[in-house]
Amino acid sequence: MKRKNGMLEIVKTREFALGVFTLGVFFILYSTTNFGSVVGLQSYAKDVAYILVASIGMTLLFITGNTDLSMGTTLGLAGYFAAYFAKGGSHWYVFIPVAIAVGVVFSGINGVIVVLFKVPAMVASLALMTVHMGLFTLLPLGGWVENVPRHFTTVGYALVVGVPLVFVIAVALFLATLVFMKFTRFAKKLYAVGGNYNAAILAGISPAGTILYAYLISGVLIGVASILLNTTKQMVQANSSYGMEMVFITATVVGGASVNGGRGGLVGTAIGSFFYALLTRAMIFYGFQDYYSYAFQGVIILLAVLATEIDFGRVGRRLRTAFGG
Amino acid sequence: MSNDIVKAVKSRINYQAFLLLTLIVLLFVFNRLTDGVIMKWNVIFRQTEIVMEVGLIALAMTLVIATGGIDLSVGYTMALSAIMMGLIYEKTENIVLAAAVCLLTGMLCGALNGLIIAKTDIPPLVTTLATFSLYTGISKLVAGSNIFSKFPDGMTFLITHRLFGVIPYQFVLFLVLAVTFALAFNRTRYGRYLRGMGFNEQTVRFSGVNIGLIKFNIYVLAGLMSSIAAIVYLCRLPAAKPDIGININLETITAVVFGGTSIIGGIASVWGTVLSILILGVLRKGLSLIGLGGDKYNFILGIILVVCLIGFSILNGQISLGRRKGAD
Repeated sequence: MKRKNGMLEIVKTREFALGVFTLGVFFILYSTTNFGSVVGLQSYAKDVAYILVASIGMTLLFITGNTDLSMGTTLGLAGYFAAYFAKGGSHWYVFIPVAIAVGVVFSGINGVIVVLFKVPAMVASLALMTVHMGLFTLLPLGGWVENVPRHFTTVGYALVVGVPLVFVIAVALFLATLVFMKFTRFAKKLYAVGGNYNAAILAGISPAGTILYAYLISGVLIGVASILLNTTKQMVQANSSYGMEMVFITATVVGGASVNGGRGGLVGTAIGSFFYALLTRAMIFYGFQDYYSYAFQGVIILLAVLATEIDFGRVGRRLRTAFGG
Repeated sequence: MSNDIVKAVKSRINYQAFLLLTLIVLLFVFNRLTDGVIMKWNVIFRQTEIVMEVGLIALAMTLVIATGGIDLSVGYTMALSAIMMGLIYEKTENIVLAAAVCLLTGMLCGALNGLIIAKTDIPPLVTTLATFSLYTGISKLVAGSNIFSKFPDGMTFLITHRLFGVIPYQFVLFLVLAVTFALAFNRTRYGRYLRGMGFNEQTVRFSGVNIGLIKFNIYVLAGLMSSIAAIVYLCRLPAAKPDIGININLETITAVVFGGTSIIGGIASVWGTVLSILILGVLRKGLSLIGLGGDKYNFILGIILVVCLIGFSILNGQISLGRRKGAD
């Protein structure tokens, strides 16, 4: 049955519609501006790379019914520490683990507050975001690293047959997490906890442990994303990624993850990341001011969330009862 | 369960005594640190005026959080209202019209939040996070790189004039509104509905209360208070620009939570919010006097918020169990 209508089912999904729309915008941009130049495409791929990796972390949290507003500032801290260590002469096998460790620690603190003290995730992470902003002012070198050494930016500027290495890493990581989500029991637990908290407890799942692990995994992904973002730059500034969490939230909710938890998928999020990065490119190429991106972000989040949350079946039933049908 | 609630309410009354004690201790500590500047007659009241915008919004936010909701968009609602006021005055030179547009903007922003929250199942956190982004964009779009600072000469009367020469008028306004809010919240049926919604929305709905309308009203109220705060701000510092809304959200939520209102709703105290606003005023003034303003103050706010969230969740452990957001 399912196999028979397989093609039709795919066409009806949200991912398909979003993908087609993204491709449409892509080709319009490609043909009307010089977005299609090699440099343009490469910098687009670099944008997608870190958005994709961090959004995967955000999606995992969304699936469990949680979120992390401090993701932007955590990413800034992770990137700063990586650059700081690199400037001190550390090799890649030191500064990359440092970034990941910083991500894990700060995301872990968030997770502990959410899980242990049952504080709503958004409020907890909002508070932590401010704590991070305060930490920025206490960092050595004033919170920014200038003239980062060559071996730090090697990762960001390297090309694999014309494709930026950071994009290859991001896609590889995406495929790995896709397999992980498909085949492990842990992934099912994430959906169980987000879908029905109490039912998950009754099914013998520890929601606390599951959510905490989701935060830790998200921390690892933030660490990697901070490397993918900051190695493409000449100067690393801790507070420059403040506000970036909205980007990841946009990519996630556009991809169909439910803000109430229990629903969402990595494929949707990946398309959402491509979509978001493309949209910011489009706004630059068509000469919109930076201000528009905030307004667009808000509208897109609202529309995406509305599309996910409105139960069309229920609306239909209501209409039918209203008209006596 | 009901015993737990009674216990929690009693602990809140003790908590307000604790807040009052904190306020007095802080006053003496900063008085010592600043060589007696804080306790001077003209300073002890004047330090309230830097937190009055936050205070006005926090009053409405207390009610919003009491229903189990939250409004993250208040900061930029305030900024947008202020910018609209500046824009309209620049165009028409009519301050009454400008103030009316300012209030209308705030109410419209609140109405959009309220409409989405009342009519759909989207959590208030996500709705207002999205509208936060939207209002940020709109206010930056309207203002561009302009700073609207053209206002009538009498605009800054809140700095030049004070009641009996010492008490800021916005503090009087704050106290009057605080009494109104406290009476409405503690003594009327409407206030009981708000609290009831925080504890169990379904029960209130099944009691025949139109909770959609209440939600809508409460977010419009939050928007309106944000625009009143915008006017108060402009009377103090007549320069409307987008980034005046930057720290308002955090400061407001910290004030409300520090005041003893449970972040998951149900338990709320207007007087607790008033006390915590006064404490934040002393803290901000005192810290800036000893050279720890700006980011350091925000850092301390963040830590206060985290500590309060953890502390209250331990205190309310009994009540909050199994009532997590997203679980129901």
